[in-house]
Amino acid sequence: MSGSAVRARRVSPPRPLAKARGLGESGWGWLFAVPAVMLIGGFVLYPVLNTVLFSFTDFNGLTAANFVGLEQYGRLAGDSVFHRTLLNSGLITAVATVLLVCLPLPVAYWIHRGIPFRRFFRAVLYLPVVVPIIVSSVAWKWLLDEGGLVNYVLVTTGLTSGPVSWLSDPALAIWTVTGVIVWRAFGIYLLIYLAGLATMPDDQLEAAAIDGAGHVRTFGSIVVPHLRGSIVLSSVIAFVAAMRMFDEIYVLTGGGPANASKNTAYYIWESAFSYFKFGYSSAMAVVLLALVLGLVLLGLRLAGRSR
Amino acid sequence: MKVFGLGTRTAVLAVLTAGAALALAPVLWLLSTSFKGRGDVFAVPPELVPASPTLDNYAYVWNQADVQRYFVNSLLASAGTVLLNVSVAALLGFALARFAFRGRKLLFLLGISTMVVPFPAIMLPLFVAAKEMGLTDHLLGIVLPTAAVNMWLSVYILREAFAGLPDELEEAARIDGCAPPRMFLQVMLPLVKAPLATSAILVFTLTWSDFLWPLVIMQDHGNFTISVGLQYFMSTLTSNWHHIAAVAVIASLPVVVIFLLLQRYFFTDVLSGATKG
Amino acid sequence: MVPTRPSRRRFLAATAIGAASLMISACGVFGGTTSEAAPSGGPATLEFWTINLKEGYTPYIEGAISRYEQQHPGVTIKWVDIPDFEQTQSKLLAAISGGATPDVVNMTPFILPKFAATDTIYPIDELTQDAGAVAAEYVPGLWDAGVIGGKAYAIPFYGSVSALIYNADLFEKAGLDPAKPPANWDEVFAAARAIHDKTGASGFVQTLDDFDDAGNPSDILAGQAGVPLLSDDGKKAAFATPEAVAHLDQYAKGVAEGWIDRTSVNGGVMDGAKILAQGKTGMVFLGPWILRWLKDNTDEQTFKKFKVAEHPEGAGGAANGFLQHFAIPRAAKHPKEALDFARYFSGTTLELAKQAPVLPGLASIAKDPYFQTTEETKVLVDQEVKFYWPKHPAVAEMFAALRAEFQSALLGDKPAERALQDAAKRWDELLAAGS
Repeated sequence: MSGSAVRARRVSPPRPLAKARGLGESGWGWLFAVPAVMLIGGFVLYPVLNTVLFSFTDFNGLTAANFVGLEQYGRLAGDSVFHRTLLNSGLITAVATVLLVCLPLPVAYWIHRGIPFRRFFRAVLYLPVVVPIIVSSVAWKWLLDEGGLVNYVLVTTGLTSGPVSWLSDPALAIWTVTGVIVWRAFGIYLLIYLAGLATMPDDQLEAAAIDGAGHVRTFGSIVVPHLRGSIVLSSVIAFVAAMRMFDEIYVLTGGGPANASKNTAYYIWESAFSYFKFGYSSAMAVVLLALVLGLVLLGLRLAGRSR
Repeated sequence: MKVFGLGTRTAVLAVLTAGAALALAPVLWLLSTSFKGRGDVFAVPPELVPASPTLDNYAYVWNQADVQRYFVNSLLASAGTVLLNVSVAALLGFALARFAFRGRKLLFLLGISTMVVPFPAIMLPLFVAAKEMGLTDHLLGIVLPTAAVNMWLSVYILREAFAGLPDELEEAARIDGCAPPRMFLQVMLPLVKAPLATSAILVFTLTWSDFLWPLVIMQDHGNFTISVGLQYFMSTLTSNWHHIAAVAVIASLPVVVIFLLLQRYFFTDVLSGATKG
Repeated sequence: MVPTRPSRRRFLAATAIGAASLMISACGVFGGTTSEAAPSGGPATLEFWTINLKEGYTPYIEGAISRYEQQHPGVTIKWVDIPDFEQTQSKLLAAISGGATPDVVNMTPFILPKFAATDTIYPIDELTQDAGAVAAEYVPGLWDAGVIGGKAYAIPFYGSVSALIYNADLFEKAGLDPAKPPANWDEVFAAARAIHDKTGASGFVQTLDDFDDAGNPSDILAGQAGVPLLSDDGKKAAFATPEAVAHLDQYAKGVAEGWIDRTSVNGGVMDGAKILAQGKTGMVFLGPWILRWLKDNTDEQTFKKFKVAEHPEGAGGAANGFLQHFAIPRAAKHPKEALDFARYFSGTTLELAKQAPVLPGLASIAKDPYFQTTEETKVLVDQEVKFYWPKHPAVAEMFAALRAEFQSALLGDKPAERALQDAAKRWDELLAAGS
């Protein structure tokens, strides 16, 4: 863990500043952390701990729960729908994260380097972020269904021979929802990169230009290394958001057809609030949490080693 | 000096234009639908620009189902959530970045992993906790939990930002006899405006979009937010599309306007001024 | 308008609880959720939940409430309308866990069995001496939908019956007689093929969602193919029969060949309605309430094309229905008053029916001459209605499993026979688990 991203870029030399003021590093650190710890403790950690407790019970949301030990976990092991949703969560998260981390990079570079109409592009590409998710998802649903505008355009221009079943083809539905997430969140990552580029000294770019470095080389050898922190930040945010994704699936496909686009977050919601299986859904949440925790630890270790 | 040559510029502009069209298409389509009359929504071939535009839909929904009230509630709830979230996250982000305090790693790890627990998994215990605190039907019932649930997003962004500030800044402040609270408020906070604005707009959007929690925590119709109100128009038995489109535009407009007004803060390069040299 | 501020002390206490709750004090959630019925009489505030009636029906609801309040001094009704059926469950579960339970709740048959099985709602006979007399007031089919294990748990509010809504224009173009719509399922399939061959439009949309009057899998199996869903003792799935396989095969073929609209596979009720409104399909099987929507969303010329007829007769013999009913949670503070109000409110449905064609729960209202005045209301009261779904606590999960298997079959990923067998296997597990 030490030497990992946890301590970010600075830390080591002792900080006389804090010590001199009597409270010490830990004292000051915790003082600043108290409001956040209270909020997170009351409204996130407490419910999460409850969820962990529920996972050992047969809680149905209505009547007092009985302790059932690891029964729910045993049931999960044999639930093929759950396995399918884990796979789907993994696929959606992997593809969405890669696309969201990589695609906005060159766009940020172009905008930063002053491509014409950059203010316009910047604003327009961010627009999907600020439209309420439920609104944009419904708009996409109307556009993408069998009789929607997208198919109308595809068929009339002869690009496809018949309407494409974006939402009802099991091989396609999961990528359709992934695409809508990427569409919606693209602007966030563009913003992060632009903020990162704003801290880049111009003389570096100028020096590269004088050296005769082309855009590709400048981008690869100066811009990307400079944005390393932003890229890690983007990866974490994209990963978390994709894992939690619920609204788009809820509106677009309801997890179908035949569970093809159902992720674990959706299955948790369905099990809890449609099937009244809170014990079971909590066990899923715990498994998901454990898997992600493992991945995060692994990621931090790798990130630490590469530094 | 032109940074991009003509060929590159053309190619890049073509790509960006295609991207912009894709980003805009659903939004424009909604906008167009919101001006359509009752029979034009399902016209085949679809009308891109309404043949006979009308404002009736806006007039109808604006006077229906307390839309104005929902709207104000959303503004208050989102603004309150952002204020609480960003200020608290800035404190913690600062602490994580600048103090090597004991338990820091554990705190960070705990934060980042609880962030991935899907909201439905914690909704029930969260409601019970909020109810015990007397938060039902109260604005804080949205503000506190929503600020907390999205806390780690802002903490992460701001921790990165504070960690990126040069050590010399801290040293100089120390020599001036600057205590941590002052250093936070007067020296460092002004230098992370862009990340602050980024967190703020993200949290604002998330709060504005949220439709499940406000519905659960609020009992009285008068306390619902616009995203809940939207559902009245969207659910199965009432989905009149020209009305949905009009409410959707009304529900999106303020966020868009706020973004356009504040966007110069997101892209501010005040930070580069401080780090240069 | 803006919620009132809690006192400062209250807020501090709240923060303290927030901090203290770190110590996993889960008592609130694990504690009992039932409470003793408070003695009745005296002033009472009843919290009343409906589903999706605020937009468009507010004057009706508020008018009915204020009339009741005038007749019953001391009783105040607090009305809460939930936008959508699925969200009712989330909100209701949270409310029950938190002890903020409403007194009268609009429920659907998909969740009622769970509440009955957990004894979290009142059986009607615990709240009134003459439960038999109450039962006799309602349309028998609708009342029975709320009877679980021999006990009635709900007061019918309004219902709906599946009908055939079709595009007369497409019928003519396909050489079919719009005055003689298909009367059974062989005719439906034949007409669908004809429409697809002659016009290129699909023959019909039959979506698979939970709205029974839109013909979910229970209608396809029990209503259309006439296959019982459960064995006589209710312990096993009984629908994987050759008749069901043959019927589902027709559907798979229809989707593959295009005479059944592909929207059927993963669309919802309103997606089907959209296809109909666009003139891209010939028929849908929905309750006549959809006509109100069609009227609001199409121009007059288009709307004139849509006709309504009785639901094609299936082997099951009756049209498939759906309903909304009222239940009274055990945690209600004034259950007797709640029952009185629920009965009162189900008596106001003529007013509702005049705004949207729905079937009233009260038998006396269903006999009102108003329902004979138009075709769309006639099909409601003239058809025999049946509720085919099992009244089992796991009904929602059973249907989710059935729907997923249907989707596999319609997409050709699985032979119909295996899809039905797999679904039956899942049903058997759920039935054996008991809840």
